[in-house]
Amino acid sequence: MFSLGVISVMLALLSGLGQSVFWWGVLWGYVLMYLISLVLWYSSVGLAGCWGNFMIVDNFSFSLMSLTILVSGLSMLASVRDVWKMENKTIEFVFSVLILTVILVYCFSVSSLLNFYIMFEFSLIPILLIILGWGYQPERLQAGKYMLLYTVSASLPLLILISMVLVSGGSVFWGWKFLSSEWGWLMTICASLAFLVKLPIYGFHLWLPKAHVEAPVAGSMILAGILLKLGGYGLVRVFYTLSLFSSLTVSGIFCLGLGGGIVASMVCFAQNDVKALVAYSSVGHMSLVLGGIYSNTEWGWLGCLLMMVAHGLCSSGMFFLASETYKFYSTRSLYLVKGGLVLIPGVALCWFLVCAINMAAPPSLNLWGELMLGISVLSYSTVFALLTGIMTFLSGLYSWYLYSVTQHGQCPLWVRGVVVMEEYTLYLISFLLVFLLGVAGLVMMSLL
Amino acid sequence: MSYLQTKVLSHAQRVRKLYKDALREMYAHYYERAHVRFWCVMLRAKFDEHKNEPDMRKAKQLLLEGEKKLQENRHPFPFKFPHSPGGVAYGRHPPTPDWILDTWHPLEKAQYPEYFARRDVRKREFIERWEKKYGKSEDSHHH
Amino acid sequence: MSLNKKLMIPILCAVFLYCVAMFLWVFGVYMVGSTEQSYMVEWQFFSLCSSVWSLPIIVDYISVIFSCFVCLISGSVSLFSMSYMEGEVYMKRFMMLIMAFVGSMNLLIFVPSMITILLGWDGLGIVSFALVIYYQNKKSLAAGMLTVLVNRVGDALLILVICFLVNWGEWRIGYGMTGSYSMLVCFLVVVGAMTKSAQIPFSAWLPAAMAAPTPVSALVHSSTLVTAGVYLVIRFYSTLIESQEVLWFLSKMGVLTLLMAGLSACYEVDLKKIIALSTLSQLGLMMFTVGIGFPLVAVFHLLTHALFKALLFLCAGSIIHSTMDSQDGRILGSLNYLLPFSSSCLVLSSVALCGMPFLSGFYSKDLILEGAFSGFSGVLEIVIMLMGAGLSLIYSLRILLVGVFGQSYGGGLSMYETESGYVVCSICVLSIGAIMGGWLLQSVWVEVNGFSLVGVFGKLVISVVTFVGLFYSFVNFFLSKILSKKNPSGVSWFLSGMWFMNLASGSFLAGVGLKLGKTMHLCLDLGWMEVLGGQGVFSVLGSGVSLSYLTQKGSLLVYIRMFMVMLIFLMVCINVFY
Repeated sequence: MFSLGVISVMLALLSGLGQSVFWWGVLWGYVLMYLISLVLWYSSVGLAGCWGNFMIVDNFSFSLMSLTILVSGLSMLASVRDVWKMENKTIEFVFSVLILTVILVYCFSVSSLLNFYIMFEFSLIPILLIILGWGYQPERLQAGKYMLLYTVSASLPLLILISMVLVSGGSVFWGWKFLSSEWGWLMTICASLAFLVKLPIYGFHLWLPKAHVEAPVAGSMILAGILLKLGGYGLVRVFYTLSLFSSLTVSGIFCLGLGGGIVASMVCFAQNDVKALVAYSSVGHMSLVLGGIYSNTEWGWLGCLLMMVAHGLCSSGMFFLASETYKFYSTRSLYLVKGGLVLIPGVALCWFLVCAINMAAPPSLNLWGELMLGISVLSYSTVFALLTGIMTFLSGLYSWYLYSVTQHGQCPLWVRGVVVMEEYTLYLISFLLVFLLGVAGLVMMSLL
Repeated sequence: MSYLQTKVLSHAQRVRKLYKDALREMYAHYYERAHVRFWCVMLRAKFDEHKNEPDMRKAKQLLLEGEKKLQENRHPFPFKFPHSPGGVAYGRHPPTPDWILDTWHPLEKAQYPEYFARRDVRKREFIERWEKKYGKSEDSHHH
Repeated sequence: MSLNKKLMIPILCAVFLYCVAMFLWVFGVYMVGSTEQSYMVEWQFFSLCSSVWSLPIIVDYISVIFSCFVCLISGSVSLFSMSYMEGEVYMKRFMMLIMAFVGSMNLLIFVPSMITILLGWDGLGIVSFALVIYYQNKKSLAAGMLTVLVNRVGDALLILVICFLVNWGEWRIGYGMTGSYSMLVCFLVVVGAMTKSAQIPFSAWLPAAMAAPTPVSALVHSSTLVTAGVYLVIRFYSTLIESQEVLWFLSKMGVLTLLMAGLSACYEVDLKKIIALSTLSQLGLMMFTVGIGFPLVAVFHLLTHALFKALLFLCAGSIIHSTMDSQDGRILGSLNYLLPFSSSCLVLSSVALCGMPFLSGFYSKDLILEGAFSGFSGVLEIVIMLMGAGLSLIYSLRILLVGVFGQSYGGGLSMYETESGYVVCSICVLSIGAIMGGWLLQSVWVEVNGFSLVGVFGKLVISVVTFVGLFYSFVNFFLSKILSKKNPSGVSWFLSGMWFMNLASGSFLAGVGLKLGKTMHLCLDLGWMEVLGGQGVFSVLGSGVSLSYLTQKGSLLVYIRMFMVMLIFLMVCINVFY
């Protein structure tokens, strides 16, 4: 039903006459879809609502679907100037974003792990098209190559695992438990490797900064906002089905994740590109998500969901602001971007709020997620208290480093930026979103 | 660029630098004007003692000793005027570039009608003057 | 027209805050105080795994009076910033930040739950960061980073506390609960509070934060933000009392901070930094008082201290503003002739700080000293604390002798303005507080009256220490007329650099951290991971492709070689298996 709505909106707008009608029509379609997806929240009676056997949704799916639609719509809004105004292959762009949205919505709602796997892989194609087609530098070819190499090669073991389960168990529906005791460690690694790369965990993350730096604004927003969450979602689903918690392997991956989170947070300071810094910061945050899932507690799974939604909104906001800064200064180098507080106070305010939210300042969803994750990680082992504490400290450190380096001080004299009206509307929208984040957090938690 | 030494200093120049530096240091050490003056005079006397040192090696030795002594006796909190570089109030308000007003939206500009009307006139005058002096600008792209 | 509109903002804020303070005083203090009751309202968000996420609001004596004083001080500060920030373009932004700060401080005061106190606790850190880097120069940026990072350490510790408190199933504080990990939780809370209150390993940020505009220093770094740590410890006291070791640690750290800050203040030349260091030493005193078991006395001292310290900062701010941003004691001087009003109020607040009888500092300080004598602290502690108390006289007099009565740098370079009406108004309000505050509080609040019996000897020691401090500083001042050569020795570097904590927490840690990050980036991200990941795989693939290309080149030689190799392989296999 839901996907039919998507397709009908798409088809209706295909017949739209002009390019601008098409563009804004699709945007309004996104708004409608977002509203529909919000309605879905209330229609669920218990944990899961079903439409046939093909699609089954629960809390995880609902929230991530809403997030998908919201972030894709916003990413189109953010690339108004890049794509629509410059008439830079507008129709193709809209189609790539739309197809990506549809794939992701399917991916979050299908009931079979095999279908999930297919959609998981399929989502690479549109994002690759977006990066290659609308990126800025020639290095984007290499970035695309990295992305494909890492994600596809790491997900092949998962395919083998899924087919093995399908052969022996007869079904890969994620609601049913499949118990298997032999080769536990190998199965755990097979099941998690694809998602570890997708999250990504430090050590498998090399494709992420490259892809972010080269992607256009819409690409980075979708990549950071949704595609990384596919990893977390997949981990939840696979582990729910397969109940694989081989102790030694899980501890190993746990340590790799949390320790890698600290390393990634420290590597942030060595970056000289705003986007690369934000990308590394999301590596740090996602390692906490991994901890929440692997701790295998109620708190951890809820916290993981909260953290994924919060981080999806917040990091896509950061990438949007990075692109705004890029448009104004024509550079993203941390050594050159200075004095935003004097030149573009509105953007500076947004930067301040987003940085505060990124470091988990109180009324934001990030904080509640981080608290839940911290509790679950500590329930796994109290030794991790040290790692979690350091990571919390470092997240504050790089957020404020980013803010103060880009927004404080004297602006360089060569800057000649132009601010136009539609930017203001975008700031307004993003500000509202940022503001609503806290309220949404409360509402969401009372719903859960 | 004062931190980059771009030329070789002669001995006399180095002595003069040392003297000036030491004088400045006096202000950091003493609160009372009279004390500062007293120690400045003492300092001068110490420099004058070796004013006519004929032996260059000894003079060099003296200079090095003096520089070392100055470094050793630096005050923990150097004396700076608030608005000079290194002072507390230095660079508090960086100048806002003038062109930022050109990026204002008409709605924003409409709040200050008189100012922007005059600004437009002045801009036109400036461009005219410029073109009269240097000829027409080939690059029409300006903000 | 718009200029007037802009100037209205601070006045509006000031009026609003004064009204709130008045309301709290009239209704809160007398209603809550007369009935001797506390009220608590709790709003529950949701309950997960039988842990309740809730927002409790407590209205008791401590919170009402503290909030009243915060509003009074911030009202005066906003009135003061009317004059101090007069050339400011972004007045609205500044006042919004101040109001956000007051809001989060009030949240901290009224919310006694570990999980929702983060609203105020984190908010204070963030807003104070925005206020410290308000000026656009590098000094304030460095100071702001130091401030926010030390505060972030406190946040991280508090978040860990929340995670550990799940074991108790209860996040509300002030019940005297205890459970598993009790020791660890208490320790984390105390260290977290020490970061906010700038106790010893974390002291460097407080003097550095003086790079903020002076109204901000008056509000943030004297009476509110830095007392948040003390306040948290006081609220948590009923649990802390279960683990005496932590309280022992707290009292030792407090008394060390008292000594360190007092000694550093005797070397500092910057007017604002001297005041900041005196704040630091008073905070050490409060922490010490909590540590030896008198939390209510600490609250009392916290409140009176807030009043006269804000006054001290406002007077200093008025002087700084009138002398064109000069805040170096060596430039300032002869202010008793040039700015009689500000300097007389400065004298008043310094005297209150020293504990002049019947001014507000006297009541609380006297109680603390009596408490220290009657408590169970060792001799060394008492001696150090008495030294600290004596040092407070020395540095207060230093402010006066260096800044106010000393000789100014010279007439030619300095320009003076007189205080505007707003400054006079705000200073007057706070001076009344500084004179009457202690007496008023003691008259309405029964619990903070004298409680301990100290013999004649104790009282004598207290007064002797006071007069020795006075005597020493006078002698020192007049002896310095004798022309003696002053050379800074290693000791003075040590003392003036706050026992080298400046270096340790500033450039040293930052340098190590940044270098580590850089090394990791170069060795791991650009080094081994590329070799084992992307580039390595590409090169292996590349060589594989060229190998297969070689085998399919169509050259007869290659085919023959391959045939030979296969033949040998086959023969070996046959030999092995059969």
